[in-house]
Amino acid sequence: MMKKNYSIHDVVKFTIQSENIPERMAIEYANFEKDHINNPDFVVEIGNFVPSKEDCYIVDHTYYIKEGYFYCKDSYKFGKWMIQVSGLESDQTHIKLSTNAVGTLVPDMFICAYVIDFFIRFKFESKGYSVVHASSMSKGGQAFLFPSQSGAGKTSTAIYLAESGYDYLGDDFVILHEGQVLSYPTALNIFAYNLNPAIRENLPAYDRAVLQLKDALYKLTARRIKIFTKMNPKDIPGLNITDASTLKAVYLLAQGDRLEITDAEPDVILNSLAINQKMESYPFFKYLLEYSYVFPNSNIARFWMTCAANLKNNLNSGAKLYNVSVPRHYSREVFEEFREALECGN
Amino acid sequence: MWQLNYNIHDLLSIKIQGNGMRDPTRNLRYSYFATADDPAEPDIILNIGPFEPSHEGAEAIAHKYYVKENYFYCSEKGSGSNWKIEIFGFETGKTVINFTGGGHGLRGVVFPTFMAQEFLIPFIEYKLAKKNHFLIHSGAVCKDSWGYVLAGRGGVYKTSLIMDLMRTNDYQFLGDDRIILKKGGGILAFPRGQFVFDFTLNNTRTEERNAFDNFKLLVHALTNKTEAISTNPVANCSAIKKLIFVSRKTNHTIQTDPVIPQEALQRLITNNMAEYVESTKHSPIGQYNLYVQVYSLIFPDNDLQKHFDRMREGLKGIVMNTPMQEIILPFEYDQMAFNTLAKDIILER
Repeated sequence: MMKKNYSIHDVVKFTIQSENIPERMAIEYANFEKDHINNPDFVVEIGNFVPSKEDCYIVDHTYYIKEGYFYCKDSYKFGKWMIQVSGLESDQTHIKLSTNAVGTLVPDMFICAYVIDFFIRFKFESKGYSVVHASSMSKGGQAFLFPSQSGAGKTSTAIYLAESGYDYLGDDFVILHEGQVLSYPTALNIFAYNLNPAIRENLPAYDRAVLQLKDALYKLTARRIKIFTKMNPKDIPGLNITDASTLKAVYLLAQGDRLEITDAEPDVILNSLAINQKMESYPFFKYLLEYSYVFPNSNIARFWMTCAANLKNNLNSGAKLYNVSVPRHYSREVFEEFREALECGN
Repeated sequence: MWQLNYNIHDLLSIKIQGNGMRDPTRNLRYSYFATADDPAEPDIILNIGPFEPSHEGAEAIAHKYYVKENYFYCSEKGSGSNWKIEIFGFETGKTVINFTGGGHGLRGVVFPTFMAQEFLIPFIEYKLAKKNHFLIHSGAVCKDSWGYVLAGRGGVYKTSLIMDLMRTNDYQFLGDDRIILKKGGGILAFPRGQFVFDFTLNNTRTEERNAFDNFKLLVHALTNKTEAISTNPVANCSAIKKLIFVSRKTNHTIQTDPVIPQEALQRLITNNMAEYVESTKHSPIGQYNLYVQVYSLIFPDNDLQKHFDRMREGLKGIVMNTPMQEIILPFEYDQMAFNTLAKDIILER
């Protein structure tokens, strides 16, 4: 049995236990790994298990629910999994998880993205921190936050800024706490088509070949199999990770025809961040909703209200707020124009 | 080209039309509301079949959702089915939905318009709520103008209970999946999928059909060119006698619990919302809540997301003034369970 311990900013601590922790999963949280932790907020145990279904409510023939407890079998395309959560509302949550071969092959897509990532965010939110779907880069201790939907330019902006000497806080999610941005350096998802030329040139020939192969597989399977290459941001040449910075400005990115930067109202930013948190929480958005039906007076039933309140507290720091429309073809010229505006705002 | 018209209690008119579909008459979900009248301006038009979207000028979100004012378009690959949906009048005014796609395999062949028809439900619910009528995910029966509402999530034997109440106690049918509550009290019928309901009522003991039952149902569906008109009495009723929350547990005994009005209201809302949320992508109706969220990214103050507050406000009076109870059924539904329930809990005066 392998066991790895993790601590994120000493706020959320967790343990993963499994017969085997594959490389694709280990690399995801490599920057949070610790030899020893006390009182993990949650423990994830991967492997076959027998659920404790006695005295459970059964919902939709699928979900087994009792106080602090949730169990179901679920699937998406080729992946299948079984999950049991106990101590859902306590400060020591225990998760048991088993997946089929596909889940084992790409554990980052099922175990990490669907389960562990959710519980990391869930525990941060329970402690008053916000986890937002955004990239963030900083210079001289001042952080810029770039929330966006997938594909609207979060990662590209982060990588362009890294080339311009900015420090890295996160490219997919970051943590907000009382006007501070805390880093969240999980593995970067690199795919041939979104690969920045600067990185591509620095990759060994073998990694480049693997990327091409995955790209071909993606096209061959009519876009059903999408396997990212996982890279620790620490291993990317020229990327300097910083731990925390003061939030200076928020640039909410959306796809548009040309670059356009306008002032944004706080409510617009808060609304967008809140919706994004829900959209990034499947399948748990559903699981929590079913739990809330059975226990309408639980903390779980109020979870999304808690998240909205956290956002309001954590963003309230006099940071400047902007809407940015980013053209579909996000070239270096577009970026330079954006950077100029960003630095003028300083 | 075929077209079908529906009138929902003179509150809403709906037109469903399509081309290229072999046999649109199988498993029609709303046949109870069918009408020969052809309204000039239906509240909702559902076009089923291939179409070219008019999403130019729309904001693209996550490369697959397109939003303009009062407009939504998406093209999605789910597990076991694909669909393209375009909605004009998403938020206000008359609604036109263009829909193409559906389930793969046998279901897609036998019930080709099933997914498209299901997708109408949230639109009917939203439009009715604006008229102070609330389509809730519950079943109901009625006797002497008094209605008994059975609310609950899926798979809790609501349908079995209702079938038994109809068979043994001569209760009239209002719906086994959705019904309409009027703000001032009273229930309007909303029978759906009567083809399957009638088959189940006449052929199987409980709502759970085994493989052989399903085979018979399939043969029945393939040999009945037009849907049989339901022989079960359907009625509307003027008052609610009791609101019963039905749950199911892994235990072996029947339990009853009191219900707190505030919690009851929250549960009714969650019960409706959960129908529009799926854990992963299987069907368009399960994506509806997500589509509203996506629309809300661009139009934060839209009316769609006020729907559940409107419903909470509208149902408050009913929840405060109606006797309520929760019954928790055991893992296996049986006649004993029903007898206890019917005599002691549901029908007690």
